[in-house]
Amino acid sequence: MVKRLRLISTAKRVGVVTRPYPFRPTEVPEEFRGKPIIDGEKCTGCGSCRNVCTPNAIEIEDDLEKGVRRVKIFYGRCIFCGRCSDICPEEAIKLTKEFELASKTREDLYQVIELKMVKCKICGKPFTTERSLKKTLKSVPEELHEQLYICPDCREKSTAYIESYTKRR
Amino acid sequence: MGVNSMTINMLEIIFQKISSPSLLLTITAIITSIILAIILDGVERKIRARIQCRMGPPILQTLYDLVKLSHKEVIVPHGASKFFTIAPKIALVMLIINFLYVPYGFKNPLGFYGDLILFIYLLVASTIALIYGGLSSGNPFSEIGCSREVSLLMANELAIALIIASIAFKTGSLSLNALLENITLTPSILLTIIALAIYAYIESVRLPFDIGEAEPEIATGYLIEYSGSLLSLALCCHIYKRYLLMTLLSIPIYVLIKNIIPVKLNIILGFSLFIAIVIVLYMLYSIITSISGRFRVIHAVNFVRASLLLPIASLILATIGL
Amino acid sequence: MVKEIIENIKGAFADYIIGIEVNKNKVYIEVEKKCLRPLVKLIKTNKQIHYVTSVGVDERPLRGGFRVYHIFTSIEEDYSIIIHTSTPQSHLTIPSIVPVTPGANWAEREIQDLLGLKFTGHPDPRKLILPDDWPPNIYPLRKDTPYNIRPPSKPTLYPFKRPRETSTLPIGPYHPLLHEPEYFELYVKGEEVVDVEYRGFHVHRGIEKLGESKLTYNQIPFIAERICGICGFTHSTCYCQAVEEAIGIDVPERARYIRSILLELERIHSHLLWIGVACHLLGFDTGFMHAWRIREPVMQLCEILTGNRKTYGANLVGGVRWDIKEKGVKKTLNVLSKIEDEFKRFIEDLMSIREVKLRLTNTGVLTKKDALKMEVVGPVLRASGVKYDVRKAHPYAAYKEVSFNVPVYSEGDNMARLIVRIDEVLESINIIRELIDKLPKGPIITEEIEIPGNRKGLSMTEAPRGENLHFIITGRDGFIYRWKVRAPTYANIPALKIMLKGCPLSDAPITIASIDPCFSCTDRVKVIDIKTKKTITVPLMRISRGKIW
Repeated sequence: MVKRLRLISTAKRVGVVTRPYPFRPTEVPEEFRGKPIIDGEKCTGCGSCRNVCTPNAIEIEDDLEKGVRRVKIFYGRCIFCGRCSDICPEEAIKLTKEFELASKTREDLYQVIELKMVKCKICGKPFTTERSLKKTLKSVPEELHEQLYICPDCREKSTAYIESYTKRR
Repeated sequence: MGVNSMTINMLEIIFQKISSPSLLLTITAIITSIILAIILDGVERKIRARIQCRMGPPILQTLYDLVKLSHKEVIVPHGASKFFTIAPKIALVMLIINFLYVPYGFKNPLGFYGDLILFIYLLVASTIALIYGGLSSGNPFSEIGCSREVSLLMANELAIALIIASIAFKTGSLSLNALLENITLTPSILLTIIALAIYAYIESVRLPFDIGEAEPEIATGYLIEYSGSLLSLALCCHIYKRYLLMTLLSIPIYVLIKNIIPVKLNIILGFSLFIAIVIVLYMLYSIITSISGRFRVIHAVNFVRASLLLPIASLILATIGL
Repeated sequence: MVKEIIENIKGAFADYIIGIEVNKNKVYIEVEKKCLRPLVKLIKTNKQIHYVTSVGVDERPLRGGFRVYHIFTSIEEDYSIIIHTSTPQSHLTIPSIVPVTPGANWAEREIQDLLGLKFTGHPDPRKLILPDDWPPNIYPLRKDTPYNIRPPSKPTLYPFKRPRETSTLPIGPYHPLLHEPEYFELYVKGEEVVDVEYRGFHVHRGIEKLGESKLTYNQIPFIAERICGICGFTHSTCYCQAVEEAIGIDVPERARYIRSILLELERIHSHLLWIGVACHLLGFDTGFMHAWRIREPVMQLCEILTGNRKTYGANLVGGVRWDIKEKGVKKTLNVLSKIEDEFKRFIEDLMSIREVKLRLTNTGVLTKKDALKMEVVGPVLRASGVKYDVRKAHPYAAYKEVSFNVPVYSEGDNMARLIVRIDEVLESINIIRELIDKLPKGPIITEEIEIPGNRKGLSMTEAPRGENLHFIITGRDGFIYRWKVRAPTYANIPALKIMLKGCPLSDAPITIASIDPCFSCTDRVKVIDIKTKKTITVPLMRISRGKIW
C-alpha cells in the first residue's frame, strides 16, 4: 500500500501535462505538415503536383474560352503528405502550419489559382501559361524563340511538312 | 382563560426553541452541507485529475452537470414499472432527512433517542431504493449489475450493525448526540473508528470497490436507464450518501480531537472544526481512490469479510469494558 | 534445415511438382492441387515451420484460372517456402489444408468469400468477411468486379454454433455503446467461460482491392499507412520492402537505418498505449493517464522527425522521404533518456498495485502447444515460450546490424504478455540508441525505379502486435496486380477461443485485450449462461467490473 504512494509524488513532480486548447492557441513544431498553399506568383501550371498527388486532390483544368489555366487544391481530399511540395520545380507550393481547417461551406476548402495562358500564333488555341513560356524562353537560344509561340500540335504539323518537303526535294 | 394561557405557553416554548442559537446554527449547517457536498465532489474530481497529471474540471463542475441534467428530457423505458420514476425521489428525500439529525460539532436540537438507527436505516434504504429503481427499469444490464452489487453491500451492512452495537455498549445510548459526550480514547473506540472508516469507504462505492454501482462519470449499473432530471436526482443521491458517510465518520474523530486540544470551543468554532474534519477526510478518501485499481468481486467480498474482524473485536472489547 | 525440407519435397512429390522458383531466400514451389494436403503435412512435421497465410489470386486475365499461395516460413532460419497451386475456372475447388494446419482456417474462408473458390474438407466453411446481406455470386476480389460496386442487399442469418441449452436474445454488434463494431459471444457456465464465437470485419474497407484498381505503386504506401490506427509505418515499410524485393532494387543504407529508427519509435508508443488501455480495463485509471503521459513525448518527437504524430508518410518504394538531421538526433536521444527513467518508475509503481497483479496472474493462459497449433504471432507467442521475432529470424531494414534481446516468457498468462511488452519497450530504446550511433551517411532514396510486370515479392516485419506480411504481384504500367496484407491480429484472434476457456468472466475483457487487438476493447460481448438459458448482451467494460450475476 505504501509503495503506491509514489504515484502521488510523481504527479507532484510532473505537474499538469494537459494544455487548455482550444481556449488558448497551441503551437506546432516547425516540421509540422499542415495545409499546402500555392504561391500564385511562382506557379507555372506545369502539373507535376497533380501527377504526384497521392489522393488526387489537385486538379488542373484549362478554360479555353477565357484563356486561363486553373489549378485547384481541394483540402477535403488532401492528406497533407507533402509530395506536391517535394516535387514542385518552382517551390511554389509549400505546406504551412495551419491545421484548423474545419468549415461550414465546401467552398472554403478550395484554393484556386488562375494563370493566364498564351495563344498559339497559328491556330489561336491557348496551349501553355505565360509564366511557363517565360521560363522556357530563358533556357532556349534566341533563334528558336519564335517557335515557342506555336502550340505543339501546329509545331508538329509544320515540322512534318518541312520534313516531308525536304524528303521530296 | 386556561386554554389561552396554555397556548401562549406553548407559543412561548416554540418561539424559544426556534430562536435558540443551536437551532439556527443547525439550519445553517444543513444548508451549508447540502451545498458543500456538491463542491466536495468537484474537489474529488480535481484531486483525481491532479494525481493523473491533468487539469481536471472546474470545482463547480458537478453543480453545472446537475443543473444541465435537470432540464434535459427524461426518457422512461417502455418496460419500466412506476417505481422507476419514484425511486430517485424517495432516495433523495431519505438522504436529506438524514442531514437534519447530524450533530455538526454541537448538540443537534432536532436529535432524539434512536436517531443513530434512523440514520443508518435511511442511508441503506436510499441505496436499496436506487438499486430497486434501476432493476425496475427492465434493462437487462441493470439486472445483472444489481445482484452482485447487493451481495457486496449486504456483507457490509453486517459490519455497520456490529459497529452500532459496540457504540451502543460504549456510549450507553443509541442517539447521535450522545456520541458527542461519551467518546473517549479507549481501544474499543479506536477499533470502532477504524472499522467505521473502512465501512464508510466500501459503502461510498469508490475504487477499488465500485464493482456494482457506477461512479457518476461512467453511468452504468443501475443508473443506465436514467436520464434528464431523474439522473440528476440519482447522482445527487450518490454525492449526498458519500458526504453523510463522511459526517458519520467525523463525529467520533471530532470528539477525540476536541478532547485533546486545550482550548474550549464554543458552538461556532466547534462547527467549523467539524466541517474542516469532514473536508479533510473527504480529500483523503479521494486520494486513496485515485491510486487504486479495481478488485475482482471475489477479492472484494473476501476483503469485506476479513474486515469484519475489526468490529467484532471492538464489540468484544466494549462488552468487557475496554 | 529448410534446404533439407525442400530436398525431401523434391524427392517425395517429384511427379506433382510443376516448377520451383528461388528468389533470394524465398522458394516458390508450384504443385498440382491433388498433392497439396500430403505436401503441407510433410512440411508441417518440422517444428520450425510456421504457417503464415494463404493468398488467392484471380489470374484469369493473365493465364486463366485462379491461384492459391500457401506461405510458410521458418522460425529459426531466414527462409520462406511458398507452395502454390492453380485451378481452372471450370473447377473452382481446391483441397483444404486446415485438417493438417489449423491456422489456415480464416485464410481459406477469406479466399472463399472474396474469390469464390471452394475448399473441400474445410471444417467450418461459414462466411467470414462478407456481411450477412451480401448477395451470393458476387466476389469482390475478382478482376471483373469493379472496386466501387454497390450490390443489392439480400439478408441471411449467420449460423452461430451455440452449445446446446441456450436461447437467444438478439442485440447486435452495432450499438451506441460501442467504440468499434466487433462482436463476441461468450458461452458461460456460472462464473466460467466455456466457449466463444467471434464475428468481425465490420470495418473491412476493401483496401486490397483499391490497391489493385486505382492506385499507383507509390500511392499505396500512404494508404498502407492508414490500415492500422497505431502501427501504420510497419505496414508501409512492409509494402515497400515487398515491392523492392519483387523488382530487385537495393535500398540505400541510410534509408534502412531511418526506417528502423521510426519502426522502433512506433513500437514504443504502441506498447505504451496498450499498457494504458490494460490499466484502464483493470479500473486503474491513474495508470492509464500516466502511461499515456509518458507516451506523449514520443508522439511529439515523431512530429518533429516526420511532420505528423502518427501517419509519418515517410516511405516510398526505394527509400524514405525525409532525413534525420542533427537537430532530430539530439532531440531523439533527449526524449529517449527522459522516457526510460519515467517508464521504469511507472512500471515499478504499477507492479506495486496488488489489484493489478491479482487480476493478471494465471488468467487467459495459452500453453506453448496451443500457441504453436493456432499459429499465433508476436508478444502472445513470446509469452507462451516460443522465441520467434521477425527482426531476428528474417532480418529486414537495419536489424542485422544491431544487437538486442528478444524477451521470452513461458507462463502464457496475461501477466506474461504484459511483461513481454514492457521488456520490448526497454529493448527498443536501446536499439534506437545503437542505430543512431551507427547511422551511416549517404542518399536516402533510390530515384530511378522501373516496375516490370509479373514479379512476386514477399515481406514480413515485426509490428508491435506481431508478424506482419505483405505479398505483392506486380502488374503492367507500374500498377500492382495483387496485394495481400496479413495483419498480426488476424492470426491471434482465433486463439482467443482457447485462452478464454476456463477464464473467470470478469477477466474476459483483459484477456481479449491482452492480444492487443486493433480495436478498442470497450466492446459488446454476449454472455450466455448455459444453466439458466438466458442470453444477455453486456459491454465488456461492465464485465471487467464483475457486474455479471
